[in-house]
Amino acid sequence: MGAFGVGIELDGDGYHPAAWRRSGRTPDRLLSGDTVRQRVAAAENAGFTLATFADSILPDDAVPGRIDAVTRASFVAATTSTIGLVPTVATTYAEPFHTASQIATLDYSSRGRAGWIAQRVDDERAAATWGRPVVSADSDLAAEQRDSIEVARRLWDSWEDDAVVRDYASGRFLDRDRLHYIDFEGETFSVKGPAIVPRPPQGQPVVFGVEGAVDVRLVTGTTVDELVAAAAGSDAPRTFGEIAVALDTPTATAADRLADLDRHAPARSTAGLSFAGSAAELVALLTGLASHLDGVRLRPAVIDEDLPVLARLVLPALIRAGVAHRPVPGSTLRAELGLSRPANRYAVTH
Amino acid sequence: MTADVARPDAQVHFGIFFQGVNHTTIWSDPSSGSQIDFETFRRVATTAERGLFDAFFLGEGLRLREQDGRILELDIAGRPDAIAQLAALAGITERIGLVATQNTTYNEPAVWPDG
Repeated sequence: MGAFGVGIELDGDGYHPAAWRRSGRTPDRLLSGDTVRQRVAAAENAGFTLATFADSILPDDAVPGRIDAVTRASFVAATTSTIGLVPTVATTYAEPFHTASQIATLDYSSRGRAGWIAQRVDDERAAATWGRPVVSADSDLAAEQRDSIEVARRLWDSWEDDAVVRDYASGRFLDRDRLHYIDFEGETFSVKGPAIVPRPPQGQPVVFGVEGAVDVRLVTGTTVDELVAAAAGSDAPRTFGEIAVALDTPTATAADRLADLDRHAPARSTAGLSFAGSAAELVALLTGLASHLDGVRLRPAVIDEDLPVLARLVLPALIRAGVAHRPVPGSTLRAELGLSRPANRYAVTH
Repeated sequence: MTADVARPDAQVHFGIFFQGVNHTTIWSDPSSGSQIDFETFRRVATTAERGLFDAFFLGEGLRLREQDGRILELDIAGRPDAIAQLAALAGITERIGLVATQNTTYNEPAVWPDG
């Protein structure tokens, strides 16, 4: 088992649709690289295990525009050294070959800190934007999720670790026996392979999601008991709970901040657990959850208000108590989550 | 052709193309670096920026080259996704243009990032 993982979602200005009103940035900085870089750097310095980057091909009320998640995660890959970088990429409509290539590339540029939140898109407007026939049946969406993850995993293994031989005597750069066609034939698509990207540093970057053959299952529950029960039902190697958080700041309580935000736009109903209170209360909640979960993903109401409190009061307390652990340079996201580097499914003894 | 027209203030823009794979890239020299480690791309892009190049071009290919139905072993192969790699290079450069080859055949124009 790895230490308790603590992730933070950094999309937009926060989960609350009015978060931009309390944001520390100027209005023209929502999409700037500096904003992403500063927030990720703050999360890394705080000791977060990973940052996630939500995505959608559609605008929503909280985030009127965004740079796509792989681009945001990649942008900070070379200027960070310990934090896991986990973009959301859809399994509906998106091409899994490109997704696998992009996540593998992120794993190289981050030197083994890439993850992928594999997520279905259940919105007919997305199909129109992509210019694709609508996929809406639950079974079809689940099949696309299953097949996209399977294709990515096979592509990541399609190069054995030692496929590049640089054999000067024979003039061979590659050993073709260590490269593999994946020959995937699904109901809606097929992929032959091999990948264009050699096997990524982690072997298999960490796959997150609520369904499918993931490494880290994301579970929700509106109460702590429900969250714990959902975790108990997870069959994945690791399980993270989703928690929306609003913290007391030096100038306003969490309740006052949420009331102010709600005056401008009602908070969207969230399926997951919502926490509002002091840093000490959140530390107590997370310490209790650490017995039942492998980690949490925190979604701040307002990133620029909640992240400083998390960095100053919550993460240090968890790390001091030995509940969480500051990721170390040179490690990988898999290692930080206590996951071994998997053997290659195609490898045979040569 | 009007080759004789005087353009005393003419300037030439220089770009550098990082192909990185295939027979035009030499691997047999012992000093040749990794074709896939990020450090190789960082070194070339930041050197080009320091040398006042206007643009860094990154190629793309969606398959490994084959000969007689088998994967070609002689040339360098294995490259990053161009858009994701340029996004990472954008984080460590300030002035140089970053230009990706992206196929227009097997891709979705609506989702090309503009980061």
